[in-house]
Amino acid sequence: MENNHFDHFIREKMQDHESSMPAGLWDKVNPATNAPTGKVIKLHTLKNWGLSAILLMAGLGSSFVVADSKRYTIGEDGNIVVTGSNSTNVTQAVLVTETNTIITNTSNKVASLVKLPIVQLNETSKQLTISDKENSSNSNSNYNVFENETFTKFKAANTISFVRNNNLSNYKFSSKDYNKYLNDLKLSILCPGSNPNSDWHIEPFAGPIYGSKKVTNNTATTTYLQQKDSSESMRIGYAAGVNLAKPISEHFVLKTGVWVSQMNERFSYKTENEIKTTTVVTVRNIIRAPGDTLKISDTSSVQQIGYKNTVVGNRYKTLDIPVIIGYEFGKGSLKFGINAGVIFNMKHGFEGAVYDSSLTAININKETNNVYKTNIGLGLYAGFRIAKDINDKTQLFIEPHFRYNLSNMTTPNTSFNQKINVTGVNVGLRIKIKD
Amino acid sequence: MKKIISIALSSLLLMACNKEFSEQFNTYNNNELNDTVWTAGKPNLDKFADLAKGLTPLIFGESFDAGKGDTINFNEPISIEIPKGSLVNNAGRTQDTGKARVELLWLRKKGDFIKCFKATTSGESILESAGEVFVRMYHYYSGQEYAIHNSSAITIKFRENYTLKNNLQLFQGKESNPLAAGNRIDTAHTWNRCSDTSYLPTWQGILNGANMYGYTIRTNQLRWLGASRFIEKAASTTNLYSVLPQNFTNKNTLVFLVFKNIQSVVAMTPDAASKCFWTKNIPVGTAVKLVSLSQIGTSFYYGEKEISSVAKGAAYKIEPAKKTIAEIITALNNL
Repeated sequence: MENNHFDHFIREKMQDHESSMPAGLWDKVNPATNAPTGKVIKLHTLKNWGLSAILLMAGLGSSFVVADSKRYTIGEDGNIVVTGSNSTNVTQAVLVTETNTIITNTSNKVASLVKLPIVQLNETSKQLTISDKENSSNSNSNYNVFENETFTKFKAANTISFVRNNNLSNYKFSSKDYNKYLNDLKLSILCPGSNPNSDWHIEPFAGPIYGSKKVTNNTATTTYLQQKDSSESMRIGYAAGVNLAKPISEHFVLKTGVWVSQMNERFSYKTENEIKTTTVVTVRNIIRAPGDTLKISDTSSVQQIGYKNTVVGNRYKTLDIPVIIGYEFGKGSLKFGINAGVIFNMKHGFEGAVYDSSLTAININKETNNVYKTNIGLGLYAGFRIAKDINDKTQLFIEPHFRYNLSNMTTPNTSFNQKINVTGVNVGLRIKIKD
Repeated sequence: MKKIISIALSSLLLMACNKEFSEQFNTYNNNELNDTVWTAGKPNLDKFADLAKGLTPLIFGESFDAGKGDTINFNEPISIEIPKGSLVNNAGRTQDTGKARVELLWLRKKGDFIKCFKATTSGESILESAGEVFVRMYHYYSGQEYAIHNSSAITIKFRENYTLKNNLQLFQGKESNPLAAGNRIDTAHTWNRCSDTSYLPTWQGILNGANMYGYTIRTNQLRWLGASRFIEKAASTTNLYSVLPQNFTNKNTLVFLVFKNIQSVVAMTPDAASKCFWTKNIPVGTAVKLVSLSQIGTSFYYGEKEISSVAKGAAYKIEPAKKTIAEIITALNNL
């Protein structure tokens, strides 16, 4: 103890002192070009995207907590810190220092870390409690700091050391990441078995789709089916919609929403003996006598006969309500998801042209449609999602998907049965609307 | 990356939303409707066969004893008297036995002249006609045509539908050589005044129970006979032109000028250079009507243009419309 007099003196004098930060110091401490060493990741080089990694790790860490109901002890880089006994509400420990300051949630004393302060985050009060390092087991010596107070401390230090499964990781962060980290920290303080994510999301999306048509015979002639097959070809359509997504556990998400889609089909047919009338201006010079020319300018119509190739864009439109469950996983800002579910068709419409029984092309619209159903029933949905964080509230995702319709889209009286299954790619945003 | 995704997505959506509709029209080759070229040569009017056949008026026919001769009153107010021993066969001998048949076609009105494509012109002169008759006699069984002996004459009496004219003369139709067979249109046909230029006698009396008047033709000529006269020379005449839409050319169209107040019909001449039909010697200020008949493929077209007063050197436009044969006949009957 005698050897520590000077240390005591300095500590007492400097205990409440805060030195101001020179301008630009923080940027120098966290240069964008700093390469991570060892297990240290320079989060600021990844900018906002990098924060998602922290969120993910924090989430994973919290899930670990949830799963194991163990407390975390965070020690200096390279050291393994002893974990403490069971804890419930106060569970998190954080080390905030440039070098070897340790924040821990445990009251157990760790010999090698005895001089380090302990910071505890209370989920209920949402306060951080910093315990005196020498009286860490003494609750009377604890004092509460609020976020704005701890900010300075976090800001001064740019490293978070994080122990998980007896492995220690250090993470550097910038001052602006503090609030995000704090939110993440709060998310991590959860009871075992509870939903780690209480967010609600909306997912507006749109994207191209392509239909794969399957036609079977009902009462049609072979000629009819051949003619239909040669006249029709699918084209790119589009789908759009809005999902409401609710995470039901850390990995599983339940989604529903409203989807609209339009499948396009090219219908081309040939009609014979078509008359085309064109208005033309004809100028005639009638020589009535030498030197006497009568000029007649005549506007009239000219008829031509021939065949006409007509191309009509057929449109199959749907209005659907999906019920989708998704499993999401991933690392860092890049996440993946597997979605599957059922699509309930609310409305189906067709506009375009089809052949009638005499192989004459007839136009069909909402009023005259007796070929296609107005509701095509259930469909099955499967999709694979790749998502990337844009910021802490928004994700950009792209989702290739496939829709399999269970029933035919044609009415029973139609001479053929037709079903269209859909492949497409949705691109959209997941936006957090409620914490 | 975001830009690429945005552009790709926008392009795909635009493509997906694009309304697809197109029509491509392809004309048939060798279809007459698509042929708008005028021929500089003499048009082949054989293609009017269907139209000519459909328009041909009713032909009266009756059989008789060639050795005895006969007077035949047809249901219509026209009769023909064939004296005994007047028929001569193609060997030049008098046909005094056997069964013969007479056929008679009577053109009474302006529409009738057009139905048979027989204008009332003699060369470039316009005739006013009280009626035109086509008469032929032949062996009932063999179909061999007979002629009338030089020393004999047949007598044809027919009714005047309008005001009786006192100065009509007999005209004989000059046909193309060889004769136009079947329903072919004889474009070389014209009327020549017979050497006997005396006025045709008129008759008045009861015919088939009705009080009528008309004309008597006595001749030893058969085939086309006309009771006509040259129209009065006008103080001022002019050329008259008519134009039609491009589909109607000299290969598929005939145009007639019909006088409104007299029984005269003029066939207008096509001119390939100016793509019009024209005629001359039309009195200025006359009320006329232009009539076009066309057959394009299997379709028939009829056009009319009424001119209340012919202007000097004027051109008039006819716009034919697609009609049935029955509709055309009705229109022609009302000229």
